[in-house]
Amino acid sequence: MKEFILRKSSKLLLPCLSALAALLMILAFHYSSHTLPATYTISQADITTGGQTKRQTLPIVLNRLSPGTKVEVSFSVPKTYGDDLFFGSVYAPVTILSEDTVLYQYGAPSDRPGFMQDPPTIYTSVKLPDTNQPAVTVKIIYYSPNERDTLSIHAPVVGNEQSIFHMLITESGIPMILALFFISIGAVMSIVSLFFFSFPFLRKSLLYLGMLCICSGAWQFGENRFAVYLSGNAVLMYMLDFCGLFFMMIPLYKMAILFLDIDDNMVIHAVLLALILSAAFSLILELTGVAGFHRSLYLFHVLLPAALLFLVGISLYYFLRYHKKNAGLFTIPFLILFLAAVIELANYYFQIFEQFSFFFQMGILLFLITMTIYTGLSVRRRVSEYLDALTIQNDIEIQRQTIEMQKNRNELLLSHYDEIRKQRHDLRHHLRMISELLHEGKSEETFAYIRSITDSIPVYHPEVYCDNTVVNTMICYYIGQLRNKDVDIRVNLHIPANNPDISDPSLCILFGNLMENAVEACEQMKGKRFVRLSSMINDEMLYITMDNSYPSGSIQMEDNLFISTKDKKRGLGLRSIQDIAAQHDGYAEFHAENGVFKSELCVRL
Amino acid sequence: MNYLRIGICEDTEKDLAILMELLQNSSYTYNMETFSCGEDFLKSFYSGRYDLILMDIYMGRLTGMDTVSEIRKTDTAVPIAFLTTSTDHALDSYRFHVDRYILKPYQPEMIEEVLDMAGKRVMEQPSVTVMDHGTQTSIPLTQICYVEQSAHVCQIHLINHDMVSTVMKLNDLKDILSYPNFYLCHKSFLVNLAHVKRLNKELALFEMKDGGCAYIRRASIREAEKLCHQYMFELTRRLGGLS
Repeated sequence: MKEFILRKSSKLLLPCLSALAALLMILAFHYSSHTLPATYTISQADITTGGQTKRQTLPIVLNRLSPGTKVEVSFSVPKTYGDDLFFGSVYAPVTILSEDTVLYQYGAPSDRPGFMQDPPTIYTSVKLPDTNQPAVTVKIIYYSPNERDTLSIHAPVVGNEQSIFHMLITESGIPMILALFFISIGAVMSIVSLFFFSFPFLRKSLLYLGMLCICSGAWQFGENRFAVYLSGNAVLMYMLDFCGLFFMMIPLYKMAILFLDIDDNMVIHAVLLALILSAAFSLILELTGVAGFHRSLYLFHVLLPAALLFLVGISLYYFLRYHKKNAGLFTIPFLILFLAAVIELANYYFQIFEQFSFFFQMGILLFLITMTIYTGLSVRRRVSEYLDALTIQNDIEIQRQTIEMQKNRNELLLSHYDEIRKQRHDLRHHLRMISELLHEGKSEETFAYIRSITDSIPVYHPEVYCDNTVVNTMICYYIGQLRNKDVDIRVNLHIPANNPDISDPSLCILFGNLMENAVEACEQMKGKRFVRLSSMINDEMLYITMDNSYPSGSIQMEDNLFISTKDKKRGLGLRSIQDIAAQHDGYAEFHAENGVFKSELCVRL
Repeated sequence: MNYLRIGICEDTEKDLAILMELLQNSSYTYNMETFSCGEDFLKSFYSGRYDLILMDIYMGRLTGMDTVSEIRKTDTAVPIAFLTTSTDHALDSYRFHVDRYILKPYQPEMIEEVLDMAGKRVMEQPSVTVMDHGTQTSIPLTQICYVEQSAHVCQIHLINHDMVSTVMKLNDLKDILSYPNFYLCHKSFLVNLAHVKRLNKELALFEMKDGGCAYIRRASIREAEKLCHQYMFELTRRLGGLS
């Protein structure tokens, strides 16, 4: 599974590197910019609403405006900084005039889809008229939004193309790069997840993680001033922004359910359903023109932090009550997300910093890094568990075979009993015959008779390889499979019948796997085949060596485990041997070289 | 050095007396230990204890066969001669590499021949000669359990609990000992891996079969474990006649 993590990190590597490169370029740009002229921010303006004019500092938020209220913002622009005026309009149609010339207009109903009651936010720059005068008056006319009673007026900025560009990069460049990074990572993860259809856990976690990345990236991108400025398509940015934000919690919740393993919890499913319905409902409201996203936003200002807090709560609950380790691990990341959301909201309402969504971006980034690492580890653990389950199945199979062998052995013994009974009967008969012959004085015939009986006594070679009957039975069974097959078999075993620290079943699994291995290897190859099994006892430790021939080129090492190219079972058998050796204060090692497969293991008896 | 260490296991007193008389008349000097049953023999037995074992087949609880089976688990080299009245079990014991069958009643020539064989085996063993308090002593390498250096003296601990002291440096001694089983595990300790009982990782030492301990330098514990296991597995293969 190391390769899995490698593969995953290498996928992240390329976007990471490009993001890093972009970051460095931005920083370089920033530091080299001291030679460029600066921009000038208009910080004071005369604002006229409802007939009243007041001098105010910018930026400013005007409240309690009825829809469509005309707001005039007048100011004087020094020409020394350049001809370009950068400004923004938040959900308000806007007209810019300078010296009674209309420079720019935006926000007419033709600029936006029919279902939008307010034009989406825009950031752009206009060229001021070329005059010889040192300063120029500019008037920006806003019409307050229909769906809000506030009008946000940003401070316009004067400069030339480069300086404005530079200003935007320094303040919004990095978040934009991050946003693009998230979108691309999310897309990659979602696509990659489709390839893991046989590993549902991995597939789902990658998919949800990917979706989360796409949503948060889309939101960050749509919000980003620089991105809006560059794109020119305010509607697209608006949709990206809000859809990303509203739908973001859904993959997050799906991930939480998956990783905390709480699919049975009704409450979290209820909350998830509520989130899905809210998002869907908002989308419907927007598309039908009933209420814009920027109005539903207020609902989400409450819903999102609450949902995040709920995640913190539920993970704490499962950690404290049920001692689920996963839940404990997740409490911190969820808390980070929650706090980031709260800071984000505070920033929005109290205008502490200029930058929107940066904190939450950071929170999401931290969260994603944690999740990625966790996914890798989780998958590795699951694969290991899966292998363990397979190994156990293999052991059970060997146990079953052992029982079969014992049954055969029993039958053999019973047939021996019959044999002995017969021989005892025969003996009585022979002795009677002999005494009769002697009685008749026929000594020659007696000798002949005795000789003939002796010749007919069957030669009995018991197959005993060691003192432990169970292991012996197993060895006999496998040797039997190799008999008459031109295999050089040498067995030298000393296994006591009673062993305090290791049970007979465990010994059977050990020898069963060893023999199975060797027999299979011999059966799959031609040429000189051999099996050499030996054991030795030293201070209550049993040392076992098994050297057998194997078909060359059929063995690969994978995760320090031998896997036959022909079937995966051999890898499991060896793994089983290693497990048992480790359980009994010993260890097992395997080497394949020069046509000899060497197994060496030791266990405590 | 016609000196043999003989272990005898015989339960019939009469047969034992005859055997001892025949041994006394031989040209060998020997140190003899007698046991009347297999269990007692095995209790004090360790690999390398004897140069020759004479074993009666039919004994009380633990037969000669079983006793020899246990002996061969740890000592494959020691010559063993069965004392028996018949050759019935000749084939059964091929697994144990029994060297001779001595039929009762004992013939003096047979006894002498067995002693010759054992003596030759002893001579064939590689050994090292050191100066011990002025006397030249030849020590078979298989009998060296471990060597400890203190000051400039090497104390060679033998498997039979004897000790030979010689004034020399451990490094020099290591070069003389040509047996591949010797391992310098510590700047003051050299062990014979054949006589290691177990490796104690927590205390970083080898527990030796004679009861002594040889320390291992901390950095070499993994190497020591690896060498120990290597030796054990090599020995296992050799015992099976496989290498």
